[in-house]
Amino acid sequence: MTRGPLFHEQTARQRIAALVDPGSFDELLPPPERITSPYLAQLGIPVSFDDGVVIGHAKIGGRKVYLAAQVGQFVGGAVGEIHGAKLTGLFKAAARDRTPCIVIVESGGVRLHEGSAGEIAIAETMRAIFECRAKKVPTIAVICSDIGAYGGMGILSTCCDFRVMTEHGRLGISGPIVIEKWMGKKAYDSSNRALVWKTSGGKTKYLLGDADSLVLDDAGAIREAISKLLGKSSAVSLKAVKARQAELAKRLKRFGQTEDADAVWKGMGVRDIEAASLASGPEFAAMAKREK
Amino acid sequence: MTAANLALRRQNKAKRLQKVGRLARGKFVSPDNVPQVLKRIIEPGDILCLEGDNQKQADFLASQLASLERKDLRDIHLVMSCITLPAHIQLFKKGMIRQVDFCYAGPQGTAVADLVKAKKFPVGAIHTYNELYARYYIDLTPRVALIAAAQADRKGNLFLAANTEETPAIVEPTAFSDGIVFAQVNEIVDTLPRIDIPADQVDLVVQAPYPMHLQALFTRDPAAITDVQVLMAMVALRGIYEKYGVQSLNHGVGFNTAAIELLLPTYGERLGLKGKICKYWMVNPLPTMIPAIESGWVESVFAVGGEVGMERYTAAHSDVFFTGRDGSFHSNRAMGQLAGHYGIDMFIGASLQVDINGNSSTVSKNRITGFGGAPNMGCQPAGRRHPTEAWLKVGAEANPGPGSPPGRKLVVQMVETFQAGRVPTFVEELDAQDPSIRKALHGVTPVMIYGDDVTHIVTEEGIANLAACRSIAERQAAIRSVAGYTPVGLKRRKRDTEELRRRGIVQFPEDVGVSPREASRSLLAAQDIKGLVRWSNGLYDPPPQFVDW
Repeated sequence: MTRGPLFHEQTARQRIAALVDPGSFDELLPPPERITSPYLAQLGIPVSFDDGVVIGHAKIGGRKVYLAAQVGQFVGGAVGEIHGAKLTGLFKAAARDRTPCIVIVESGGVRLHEGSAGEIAIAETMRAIFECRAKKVPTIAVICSDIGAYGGMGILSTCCDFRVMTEHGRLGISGPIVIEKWMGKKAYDSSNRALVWKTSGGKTKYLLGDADSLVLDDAGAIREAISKLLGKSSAVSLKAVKARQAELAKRLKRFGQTEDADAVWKGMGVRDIEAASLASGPEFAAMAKREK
Repeated sequence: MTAANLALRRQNKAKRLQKVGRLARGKFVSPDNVPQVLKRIIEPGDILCLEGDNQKQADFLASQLASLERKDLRDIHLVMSCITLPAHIQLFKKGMIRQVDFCYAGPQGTAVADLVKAKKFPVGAIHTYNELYARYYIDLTPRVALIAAAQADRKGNLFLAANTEETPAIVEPTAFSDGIVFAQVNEIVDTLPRIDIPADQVDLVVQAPYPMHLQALFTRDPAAITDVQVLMAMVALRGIYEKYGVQSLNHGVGFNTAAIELLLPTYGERLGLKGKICKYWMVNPLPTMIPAIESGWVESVFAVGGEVGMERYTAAHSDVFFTGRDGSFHSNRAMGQLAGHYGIDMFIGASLQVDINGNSSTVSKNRITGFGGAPNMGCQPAGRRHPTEAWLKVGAEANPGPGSPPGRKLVVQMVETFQAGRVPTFVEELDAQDPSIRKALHGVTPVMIYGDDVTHIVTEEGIANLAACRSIAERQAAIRSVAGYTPVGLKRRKRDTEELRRRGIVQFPEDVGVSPREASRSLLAAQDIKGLVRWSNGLYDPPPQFVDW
């Protein structure tokens, strides 16, 4: 019964080490270079020597990849100027070298202490991602932690070709507490964990097609899912964008007025809600596929 | 010479029930009439028992009692095991209580400390559970008992469901001494699943407007177990469970012991301990035991109470759990405490403070909690006569003199050296020794477990075998050796620690074959509540606050 460590409980560096070929990771701008946030220092807030993100290159199955992993323990993985610049540079390098780029997301979005710089950095990273996609260089977001991918990082994740998720992962724009604050507890109770995961968790995102694979919370499973996607890319054409927009319009029409998270699952063909709730990621994916 | 009338109580009871008159139809009282009925059945000077465990509460009757005023009800000697509800505190604030004898005040610990400071808490003594139940048969026999049950039938028979807890221990002494038993029930039905309390021991019944409060007190989310707790659990498994061959045991409700339960099917299995340890349990149906039960480690579990959400699981595992003929779970606090006192090899639990002599307490100046049941199990039962392997093995280490028993029960305190917020667990002197607390308790320091009873202390630093210490000075040195970076620990002398380690009295993780590098949450059989539900094949229904799917 003993299993490997749970991916969602591992640190950013442990996650990278567990995903890539042993010893193949070379970190760029590592902590000894001490590239830290000037804004946090001005505000008297502790800084981190990697500014909350680990970047570098490694090999997966002998194949070179660029890789980033956000550090959720540092300001919730929030994106500041340095953090964002590291992401931008990494995707630019990926586009230049025509090398696949993977980002392990664990972030609530832009760091409020350096909001404008963070927003600009997100926009620049998005541009770099589309540069990759224009060159058919695969970009993959791995979303597998409780913090999830929200705000700017939610947007950035959906700009990538593919998203690999686990049932622990969450993907959205506004976080649960923000929604509750603006819409009221009646509309969305952020302390209702079941509701939060039913609306933004990996299983729902997989059902709706926002996640491309739903895997076990385990480095081996995630590595396998990544390997399958490394050779692929999804086109960015006017046609593809229009098709996606039509899909979203349909989804809005169908579920926009729904107040019950279960109704979305039922609407997407999940019959036994309880069994589906308890199922692991891959079991759920198999159930959803069978019933489609 | 006329014969003395020694049946006055029976006459008095009849008179009180007569006064209730039309307020009841037979035994049945409507909720609106409850305050009036309470006024008529309770007299000044009465010993009044209000049922309230740490889980199950006669909360409707308590709230109706608290709605009365001092002019209606005064000079009451309150006896109850747990002061848990705000309504209980109201009784003191309104000045109705002449004296209180109780066991535990968990959630109201701060309110009780405030009452003590305001001199509004006339406490007789704080007891352990069985100690208080014992006194119900001696000098604290209730005149009126307000109790809680799941269901009543039309005759007044009661069904107590999973949380039997202490109801029988209250009803028997009351009913058999011409006292009045008044039960609140969730529903009144034609046929009960089983009869736990016969109707002729019940005088009055009310169907409460809401179901009685039940707290999910024993649910521990595996997601909150830390790597350090896993390390301590590994050390305890090797250095105590394996070493002494612990067959029968009680676990506390903390995360430390939850970690041990979740290591059995993984780490324990790897050590080849299955079938050799942890077979017989006196413990509530802890959800964290599900993986061990499913893996075939557990022969039997007897409980002092139920646990919310474990109803279907326990009903489906009647080979392991005690269940009624209807298949539903059965518990009994008095008998469970008795079993935990005499019948087990080991008690292991945590505490908030441990002093330099090994005494422990959960009381602080601002929070008076009391004892509950831990001291009934965390002590040496001087009346024990039957031997077991573990009992004799610890006994041999303790080197008993010619006037003591040959064996000892394992009484283990498992604590991290620091509590949350960097508060040291180990102290030179317990907060409980505060003069104002001692004064309120008639000179008694509220010690949970006495150092003389403790055989081992386990921390993340290692194990201190107090049973094997030969002097108080040696015991203190052993405690300092595992007290880490607390002020108590920093006073240790390296030479003492090395000498104790050489003699096996102090053992570090590597001394019992545990590598701290290996201590990781990934060893746990389930990492979260959902994992437990999966292990249970969907039979465990966790309470909503634990569900995130």
